[in-house]
Amino acid sequence: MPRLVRVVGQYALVLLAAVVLNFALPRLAPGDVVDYLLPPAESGALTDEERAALFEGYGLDQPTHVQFVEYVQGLVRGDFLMSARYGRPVRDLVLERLPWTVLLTGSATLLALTVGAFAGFRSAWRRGRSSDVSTMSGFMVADSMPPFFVALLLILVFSVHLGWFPVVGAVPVVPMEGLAFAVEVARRAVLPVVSLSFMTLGTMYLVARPALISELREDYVLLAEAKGLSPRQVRRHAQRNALLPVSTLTLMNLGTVVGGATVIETVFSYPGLGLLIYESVQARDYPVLQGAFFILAVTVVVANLVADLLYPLFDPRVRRGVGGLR
Amino acid sequence: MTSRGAAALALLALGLAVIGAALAPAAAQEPERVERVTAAINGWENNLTPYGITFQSGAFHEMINLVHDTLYWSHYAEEPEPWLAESAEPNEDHTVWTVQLREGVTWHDGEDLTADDVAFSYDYQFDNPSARYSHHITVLPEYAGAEVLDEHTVELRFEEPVPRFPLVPAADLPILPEHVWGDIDQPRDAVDELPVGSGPYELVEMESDERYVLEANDDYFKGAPLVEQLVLPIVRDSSAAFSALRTGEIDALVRGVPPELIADLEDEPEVEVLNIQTYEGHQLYFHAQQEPTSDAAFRRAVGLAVDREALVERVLQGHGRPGRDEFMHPDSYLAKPEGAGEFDPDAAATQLDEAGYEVGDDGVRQTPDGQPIELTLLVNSFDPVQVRTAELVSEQLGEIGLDVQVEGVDPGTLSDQRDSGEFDLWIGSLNNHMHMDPDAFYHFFGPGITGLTFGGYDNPEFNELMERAAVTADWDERLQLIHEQQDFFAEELPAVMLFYPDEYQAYRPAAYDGWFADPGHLLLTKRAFLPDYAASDEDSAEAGEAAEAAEAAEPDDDAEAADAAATGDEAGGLPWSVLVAAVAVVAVAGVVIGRRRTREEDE
Repeated sequence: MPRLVRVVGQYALVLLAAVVLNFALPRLAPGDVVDYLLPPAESGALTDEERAALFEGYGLDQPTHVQFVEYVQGLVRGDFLMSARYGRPVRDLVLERLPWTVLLTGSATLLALTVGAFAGFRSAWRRGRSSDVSTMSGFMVADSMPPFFVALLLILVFSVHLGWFPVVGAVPVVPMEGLAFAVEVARRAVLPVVSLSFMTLGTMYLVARPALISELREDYVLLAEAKGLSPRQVRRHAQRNALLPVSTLTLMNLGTVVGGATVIETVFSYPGLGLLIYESVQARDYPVLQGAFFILAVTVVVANLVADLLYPLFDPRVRRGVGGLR
Repeated sequence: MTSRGAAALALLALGLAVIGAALAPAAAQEPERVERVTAAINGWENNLTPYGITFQSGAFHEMINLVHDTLYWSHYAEEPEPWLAESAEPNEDHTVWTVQLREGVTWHDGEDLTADDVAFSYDYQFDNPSARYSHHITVLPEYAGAEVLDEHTVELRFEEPVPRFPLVPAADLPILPEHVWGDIDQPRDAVDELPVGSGPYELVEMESDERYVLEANDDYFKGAPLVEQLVLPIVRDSSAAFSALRTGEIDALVRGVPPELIADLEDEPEVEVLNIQTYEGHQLYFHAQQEPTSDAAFRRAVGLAVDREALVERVLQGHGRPGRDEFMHPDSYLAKPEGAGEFDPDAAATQLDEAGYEVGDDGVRQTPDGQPIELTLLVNSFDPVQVRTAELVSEQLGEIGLDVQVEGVDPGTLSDQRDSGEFDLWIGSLNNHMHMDPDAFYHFFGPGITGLTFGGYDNPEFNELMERAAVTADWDERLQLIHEQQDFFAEELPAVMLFYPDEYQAYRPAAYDGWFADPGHLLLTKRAFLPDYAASDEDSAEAGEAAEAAEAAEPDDDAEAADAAATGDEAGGLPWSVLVAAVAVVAVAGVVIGRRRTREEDE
């Protein structure tokens, strides 16, 4: 119980810091929304009164501390302000975009986890052989490639040369229904998901491989081998234990994946939160940035909290407070 | 077990992809009326009204003008043609214009468009000046009110003479429906509703940052538009956008073709590249309110030291023309026929010496009182052409001993830093509005502009010249005054025009072939969809013949170009595919070999 209180308390503090930074950071950036909404030829031509009227319209004429109080009240009530750029409630915008980002990051995380862990365990089982070395080099290359670069390569090969996948948006341009629509959505998700999985693919592999290697050195493996279990059975036992660090890493990495989504969604014109953030940063649309970052901060903090709380369930050593990783 | 499962999954995915590819829509090929055209834009413009547009789409005014109409059209013509108006007659001193409207025009919702709507549009956009087009009735000329004479006649009054009313504001200010906008108190909050216009297209669907869908207004007074449905998806990333055009995922692209891509796209058999004209110029602005850039002699020396021919060659790869000190685009009907941008670094150095900016011990020039001159050149880091330009300009000015530091920043930071004066030089671009508007100098360098947005140049003599031109009714006299403004500009050099780029846009003719180069407009010009204006088969046949004739006349050049393109392709295209193929082969081989080994071990 004290552990639970301590952990939840820590995360509450992190969330509080996120709330404050979330308000402060966009405002520290130079430029404002009026500069953006009107091209230079017009924003230069605005009189001071016209400019003031625009600011008032967006609630940006208030002193900073009043804006902060309104912001916190809004968070508590669950209604964020109006977006200056889109002229719509931030809540609607964020809720509209969130499912696409969940689809992308969720699929990419699963893909990275499956492929990374699968290959990592395979490498560990055949540690030191040429296939291990070549797989490891491959994943290290993958790990060091920035996702936007991967995305452009994938577009070049699979869209321009082979013509297999579209590159624009999440839904077909032409109205469709039912199965055809679902197929189109799936086709459009393939390249972004694969690109995004490169965010963590290498890391997954590089954690899964040593995890299994160290398990294979444990006494219980020796015992299993001694009592005549087949290699396949031995591997299954060891793999189950090696999954522990990998699964924790998956939840911990969620923030990185969401960050990568900003870039990937921009490349593929994918209408998720990442694209919304990219557009809003350019527009200095504080209300949207606050709302979107708040949702992301909550998601990531909660994912980490869940990872922390689930750990004892996976690892009895933590539960009993003896030895182990902690 | 697991590998079988994985294989099944892979097969399923492959199957889905194949089905998807089969289901992918084929481009429509109707010779007469086209069912659907997909033209990608760059960004979200809200609901395409004067209060919503953000200029993020890259389509300038084209999208709002697909949905809305103006009294005359177009703003970039020397003589605009009557559009919603049938005619407009001035009183003696050109302060009152009586507009006769076309009869039988309806709004998209079926209501009649009347003189009341016109009077309302002028009143509303005057009273709520945050609209994009308001400054043409609040600043110059200043609107003074309207009187509706009958259902189709309205009198518009101005504070000063408006000799070119059909051009500005009549070809500029969108006419809005009173029955919709009359109830809207806060126009900036109304950017989320589908708009009601009278234009050739009705906006029927919009998804922020995703797409717009417009449907043809079959009752349009200029004839039913040639494309029934216009889908405008938003594609933010430039390379993704051109990839989508190459694969046929989209039919046209509003984004300008970057200089390095022009040759590649011209080689693409299914893609046409159209040379358009939006009278664009890129210029170097000076901070005119602080030393040493406030000194005209200093600015003139900078102008002489910039090698504009070299900029065209190296930055635009030859696709453009060097800038002239007279500033205005040489193709504009307002531009002085003669003009030049001289390059003479020796003369520049001499002039700086004479003006007291001598070279110090460290090789860097100093102010007359001995302070080293350090200049900051701001540039939008999102614009590759301008970033390259800035680097070259900095290098060229270094040759005459000026220390110029390039600072690349995002657009928001740029406008902030610029408006608060934290710069000495900055690079910006202007098009149509600067080069095709008789009052352009007034709007950018005139008395109304008090901030530093365009450098803050302010000269009473120049102001007087511009104010006089604005109210001169006699056109020849006025044009003379506009030419004098250009002479004045070339002498004072509040900004150095660097180059006028040639502009290109690309499309797939199989999907729709009505696109044409409408002067001042982009591919999406509303006239490209109207039967009286759109390019017809005859036009393209003529163009084809002309191209063939040109080819026959210059066989050698063409062969060379083809060779160059071929080697370019090898140099640019091959290594990537090879690299990717190699990586893929190694990966697959690794997995296969690895799998075989384990199997051997396991068994």
